[in-house]
Order: sequence, then structure tokens, then C-alpha cells
Amino acid sequence: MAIPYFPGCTLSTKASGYDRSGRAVAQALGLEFQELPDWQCCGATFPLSTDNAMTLIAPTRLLRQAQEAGGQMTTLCAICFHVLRRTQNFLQEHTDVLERINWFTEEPYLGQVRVTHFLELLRDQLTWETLRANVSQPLKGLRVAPYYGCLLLRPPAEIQLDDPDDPHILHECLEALGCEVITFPYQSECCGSYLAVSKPTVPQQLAQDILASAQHHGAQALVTACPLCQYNLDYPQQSVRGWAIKPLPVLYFTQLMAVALGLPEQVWGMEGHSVDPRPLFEPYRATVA
Amino acid sequence: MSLDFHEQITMLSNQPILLCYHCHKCTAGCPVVEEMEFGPDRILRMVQLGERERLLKSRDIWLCAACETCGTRCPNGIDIAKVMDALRLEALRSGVTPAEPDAAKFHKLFLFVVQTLGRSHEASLLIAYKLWTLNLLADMDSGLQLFVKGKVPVLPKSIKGRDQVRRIFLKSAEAVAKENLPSANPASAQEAK
Amino acid sequence: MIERALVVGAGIAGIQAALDIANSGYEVILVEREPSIGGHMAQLSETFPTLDCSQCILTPRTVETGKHENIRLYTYSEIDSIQQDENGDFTVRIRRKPAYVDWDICTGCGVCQEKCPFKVESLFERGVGTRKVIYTLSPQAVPNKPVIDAENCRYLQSKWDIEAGRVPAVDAKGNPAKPKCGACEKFCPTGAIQWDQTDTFFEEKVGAVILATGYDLFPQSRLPEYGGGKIPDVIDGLAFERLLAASGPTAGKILRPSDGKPPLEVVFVQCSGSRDPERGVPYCSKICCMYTAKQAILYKHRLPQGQAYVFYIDVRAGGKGYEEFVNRAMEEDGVIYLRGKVSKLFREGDKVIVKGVDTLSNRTVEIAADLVVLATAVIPRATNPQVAALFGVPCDENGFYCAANEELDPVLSIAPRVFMAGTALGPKDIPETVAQASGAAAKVLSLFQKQRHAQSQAQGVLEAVGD
Repeated sequence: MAIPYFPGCTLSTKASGYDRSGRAVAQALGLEFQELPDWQCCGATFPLSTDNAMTLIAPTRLLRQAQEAGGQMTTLCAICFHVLRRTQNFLQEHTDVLERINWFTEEPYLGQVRVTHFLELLRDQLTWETLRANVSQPLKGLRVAPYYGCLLLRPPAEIQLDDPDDPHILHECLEALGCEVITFPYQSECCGSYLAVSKPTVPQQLAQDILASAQHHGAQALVTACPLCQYNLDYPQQSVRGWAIKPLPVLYFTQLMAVALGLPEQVWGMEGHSVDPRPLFEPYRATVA
Repeated sequence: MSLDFHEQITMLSNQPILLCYHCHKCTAGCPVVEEMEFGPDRILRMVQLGERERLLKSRDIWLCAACETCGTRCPNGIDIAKVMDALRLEALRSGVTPAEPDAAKFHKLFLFVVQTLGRSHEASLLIAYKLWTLNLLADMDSGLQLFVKGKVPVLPKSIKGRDQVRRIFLKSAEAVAKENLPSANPASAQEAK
Repeated sequence: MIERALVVGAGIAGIQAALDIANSGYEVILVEREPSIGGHMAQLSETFPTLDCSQCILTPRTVETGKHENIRLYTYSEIDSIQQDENGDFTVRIRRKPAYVDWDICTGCGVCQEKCPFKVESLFERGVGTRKVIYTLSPQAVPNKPVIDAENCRYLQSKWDIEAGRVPAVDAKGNPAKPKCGACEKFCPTGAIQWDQTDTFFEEKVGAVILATGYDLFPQSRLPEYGGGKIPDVIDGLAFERLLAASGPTAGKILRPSDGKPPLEVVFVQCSGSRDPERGVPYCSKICCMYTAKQAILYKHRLPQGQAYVFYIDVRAGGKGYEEFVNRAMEEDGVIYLRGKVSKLFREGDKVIVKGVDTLSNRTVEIAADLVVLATAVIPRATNPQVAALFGVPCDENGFYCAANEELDPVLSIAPRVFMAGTALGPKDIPETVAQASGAAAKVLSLFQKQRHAQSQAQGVLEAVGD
């Protein structure tokens, strides 16, 4: 089954491991990611932050391409998902604004595209049972803590993916892979987001709290769905002087899926990490081709 | 103190700021509040009282990480993150010197890109277009830092539809000239009518 | 008009109304869902602002009710149906649930409860205590007769399994299968256990009704940022009352549900669900500021070395002596009041981390609490819509009964001959509840009295005419 796919800026560059593993696991599960032919940056939450509807042109253009490609689209980046989902909701509610925007984008967007995050696709269309059945290398005994971050879940009335204070979707994915899933209290506390650029000490402090809590609860690795969270939690571990927490690998859920589905190491995409996660998978490597 | 400011921010953010009864649940859950001068709930109080100068000059509006924890938890359904957005916008428009220059530059950059669809100046149009087709979050450690410091790096591969994008930019420039831009905010749209 | 009244619900409102009417010489049918009367007041330890022992002030009235010659008490019963005739009188069908104990023979000795081998979670104890499968709600229950919780009773469940053929009728040795346990029956000195009881129905005719069905508390499961009801050391206000109560599961010692140790840092979170149009209820529950102050004071009395914190948005203390009571908590008992709503709390090790803020000093506050007490919102009982529909009474948007006029006729409903009292109308404290109960009783009495007055006037006319 072919699904229109929007990788976004970061997955094409810094977070290419997420993209690579994502495409590979999708294919292995019979869901072929078909990259939108002509995408550009979604705007990374900024289109939502002004009252000038012109800023919505960027995400609308993407939605229109998905419309041409069949009416559904999926993405891996939590921020892109957040922007597209909220834009979609807004345009459905304010059809007059949509009309005006269409005048600028040349080909009209009709407002009917379904934006799904890949996790939703797995949960609702593929089902966790099917995922579990495809796991050839169950990650038994691997203690993994899902870290949800903010934009995947909030604001719940608009995003409607899961309960921000008691989320389950990443838990269920990891359980299907055979992991021992650790719930820890900081699982949906903010990583500091784009303050990484303008005020890096803030995300560094927040990362320390999040990682310390996860370690305290026995996690061997953290799993996330957002490239900015991954950066904020992973990068400072090797680069900040006086870092007090023991190294803890921070992975994308698709990377764990790639290992559990028995896919070759080339598609795991783990080379670029600050804290190398590969040693964690030694026990699961023996039977992997 | 000016009451107009409160109305302006209310319209810009489309949030029921007057419903706030200052329970401070937002402040209690804000991840960056330790760095802030006031905190989200006091910001709302200052908006209610029209304290324009203090707000636009504060550090808080630039430190907000847009995590939406405040809006999710508010008993009265006020999305404070959107109020922060509105205050940032107003701060940039008003030309006040931002209290957190790096954060402000970052915001300005992004907003410039997405908002320049509303500008008519050819040079800025070109820069904005170049930036929009660039992978903006590509290189956190170096690339974007360069932007923040005012240096524009070389364009990497461009998108296929750049002609279409160019046309969009030009069309929007026309619209600005005719003052014919749509608003995303139903309230201010009414005003515009 | 039949000069008898029906009172639905035997909490303090129903009890007060029933006593007022009965003491004026009229008969009252008092119907209560639980096995015994007293409602939520029976669960409390002390009441504000006097700190009177709740049982001590309640029991004289419950006993009087139980013994009153004019009160016909139906406990463990519900209203099955009503019919109103053209005179406006009601025929009420009451369903008495099977207690599996013959209350006419039972002496209330309590041996069955001692000997029952099985304990289950008790709703009365709000999650901090257990009860036996055969139980009375408390040692001072009126009537002091037990009921068997059929769902959890080994004997009844196995008996019904055998009868329904779900288990084989003979065991491995060829003997007929017998139900399990039956300890209560073995030890009952009067043979009061009756396994084949079923619903029994009674019909009563009355001329007026008072609805006094009381309140419930907002479930913790709807507060996910406060643990969602899954953290053992995060309890609600009524549960804390059970810890405080001398007749409670810990005999009045304040102990943590998780490990039974005394908590040295207790955090009280006001407005848990109240004043929250987005995720809870929009209204103020009125009583929580007062009972939280009361609970904090009592905690400090029992554990003077402990520290109590109260997170509040506002303090609402409008009644007589209430403001002084709260100040007493702050000044004399050293309770720390922090203005700010708690954002979230979670378990960390054996503590509960509470993330809040004190806005007045502008600092975030993080407390590692041993025990957290949530002042959860007062909500209408889930059965309110059913009961209201039976009697033709509308409910408001929050599910409480509507008065005919909220200012001038607070205990009158728009249904003829139907009156109401207490927290079924909305959150209120005990003095207001009792006042409303007496008010509703007065309305009923005036109905009856009008009829008698009219009758004696008519009689007078007839006599004057010489007929």
C-alpha cells in the first residue's frame, strides 16, 4: 500500500537516520512511503503563530500535494505533524480563509486530506498485532523509556492523538517489539525545543532532568518521535562540559523497529548519534543477517 | 496602562484572556519558568492591565518554548502559548529592543520568511524566498547560528517547484500593495471587513 | 390528600426532614439505598467549624429515626416506580434488595462479620480500608443488621453456579456438589442467614415527597495529571476522613495507604476538578476550602511534627465562624498555605512529587510529599437523572436538581407535592443542608395542615348551619 510521505527538512539532513529507518520499516511492513514530489519546509510551527493567514500557505501547499496523491499523508517528524494537523483542522473550520489562500497557491486545496503520524498509521491501519507478528528479533529484556515530548500530543483538543498526561501510543509500539517498556514521570515534559538555538542552557537543564528521571527508573535507552527532542537529549551528552548524567542513547522508534524486524544495519541509521546506541543491540545482533 | 493593548492582544491571539482567574497552574507546569522574570500567569495579568511596555521588553516572551503545557492544563481553556505568540509578534512589529536578542533574531528569521509573503520589497522577497527553500533546521550547530549572526550561507539543492514558489511570492507582493491579505484570525478578519 | 410523606435518601437531610415530619405526628416512609442510614456524614471524622465528632452529633438522630413510631424505615431499598393519581397522591413501589439475612431474626451481634474469611474493598472506606463480604457500614449502623455482598460471596456464587449448571452437579467422589464457605451461617446464633432471598416489593401511598439523595465525588480517574487514581498515596478528601475517623480502618491513626507509615509531609490540593470548565466541573464545590482547613488542623493535632501544605486558588469561607477557622489553621496550627494550582504530581520512589507554584512570592515549588489529599469536586449522584425523571423534576446542566426558583423557592420543585433538600440540589455544608431539610419538611407539614384547616373550617360551617 502506497502512502504519500512528507519527510521535512530535518529528516533530509541532520535526522536522516530517522528517515532511512522509517522508510525501510514501512516497506518491510508493506506500506510504501511515496515522497511528495515537490515539498518545501512546512514552516516549523511558525505558520501557526501569527494571525496572518498567508503564513499558512506553506503547510497548505503540502496538503494540496497530498490531495493530488490520494488524500492521505503521513510524516515522521512530530513538529511537521503538529503543523500539518493543526493547519488541516483550522482550514476545515475556516473555509473562507481556505478560499483566500487557494487564490495564492494556484491549484486549490479542497480541505479533505487526512494527516496522520506514522505511529497512528501503525496503530489504526496496520495494527499492533500485525507489527508483533512481523517481529523476527524481539527486543526482549531491553528496557526502553518512551519519551513523547510536547508537539506530538498537545494541544489535545486539536491534535487528538493520545492523552498528554497518560499517553500509550509509543508504549504500545515498543511492547509490540518485545521491549520492556519503562514509564517515567518526565515522559511528556518539554525538552526546550528551539531554545537550543537561542538559549541552549535551558534545553540542557531540561535534558538533564529528563535523562536523570529515565535512568532513575531503569531505562537503558530513550525513544522519541521528534528530531528536535532527539537533538536536545542526545547532543549535549557528549558536548557539554560537566555533564552529570551517565550516557543514555536516544533513539527514534523506527530505529528500534528496524532492529526488531530483522532489517540490515545499513538501514538502522544509527551512525550520526552522539551517544552511540549500537552496543545496546549486540545481544540482538547474532541472529540478524 | 492602556486598555487598547489588552483588546489588541486578545484579538491577535484569539484567546479569552479575561477568563483567567490566576490559579497559576500554567506557571506551575511551565518548563522554562525558572529562567523567566514573570511566568505565564503574570504575563496574562499584565495583558489584562494593559502593561504594554513591560511586556514587550520582557525576556519571558522570548523564552517560551511553545510546549503547550499551559494551554493543555488551563481550567478556563486559555492557550497561553498563543498569547505569547501574539506578544512576540507585537514586539517585533513595534521595534522594541528585545530582551533576549538571540531568541528574538531566531523568531524574526522564521517569521520573516513566512511573513514576507506579506512584504513588497524586492530584496527582502528574494532573501525570504531563498530562506524558505532552504532546509531551515538543517544544521543546528553551525548553519543556523550563522543565520542568527547575520551571515547567509550558500543555497543547497533547491526544490523542484521553485518557480511556483516564486510566483506565490510575487502574487503576495501584489496583494500587499492592494492591502488585500486574508487573516487567520476570525476576530480580526471581522475588524478588517 | 394522604397525610403521609415519602423521603428518598437518609443522609442528614433525609433524616432531619423525616424527624421533623414524624415529630409533628405524621407518618413518614424513609427509603435509603445503603444498608444503613447516615449518608456521607457518617463517614466524617469531625465537622467544621466546631470540630464536633461527626458520629456523636449524628447518632442521636439516626437512633431516633430508627426507633421512631412514625417512621417506617426501608434501608437497602430503592424506588422502583411511582404513580400519581388525580388527587395528586402517590403510589410508590419500593424494591428492597436481598440482604440474604433475615433482619427480623438477626440480633446484630456481629459474629458473622468476625467469622467471614473474606475481605473486599469498601466503598465506605473510599479505598483506604476493607470490609467483610457480610457487613454493616459501621459499628454504629442504624439498623445494625448486616447484608451480604452477593457478587463477592463465595457461597452465593458457587450456589448459583451449581444451580445454573455452570459447574458439575456431582463432585469427583460422586457426592452432590455443595456451595463453598457458608461460615456466617455456621456461626450465626439465631439462624438468620437466608440464602434464597430475592427482591421484595412493597407498596406505600403518600401525599408528598422529599428528595434528599445527596452527592458523590469527582472520580480521580478524570484527573490524569494528578495520578489518575493510580497512586496509592494520593487520596480524596473523604478517604482522608476515614483515616481520621476513630471508627475508621486505621482507628484514627493517619497512615500512608502504601506502607502504613505516618506521613510527615502532607499536601492538600484544593480545587481538584472544581472551577474547571475545561476538564472538570465549572462550579465551585463550596465545602472544600473549609474541610481542607479542618483536615490540615486535625492532621497537625495528631502529628505535630508533620508539615501540612495547602495549595489553593482562593479561600472561600463565608459561613459563621468560617474565616476565623481558616485563620486558625494558618496561625495556630502552622499550616502553610501556597497560592497556586498544582500543575502535576507523580510518584518517585516512595514519595509523591508535587509540582506547584507560590505565586505570591513568584517561586515554583516542588514538594516531596508522603501523602497527597485531593479536594475533589462535589458532583451529583449518577442516579440523579433517573430519580428526577421518576418524580418529574428537571436537572440543571451540571446534573443537580432544579428548584422552582433558586432564590425564593430553593426547596420547591416544579412537580406538584415534590420537595427537595440537601446536596442533591448543589454543594453545601451541613448547617445549610439541615436548614433545607427542615424547610422542605415545613412545606410538607403546611400542605397537610392546610388540608386539616380546610377540613375543620368546612366542619365549622356545617355545624353552624346545624347539619
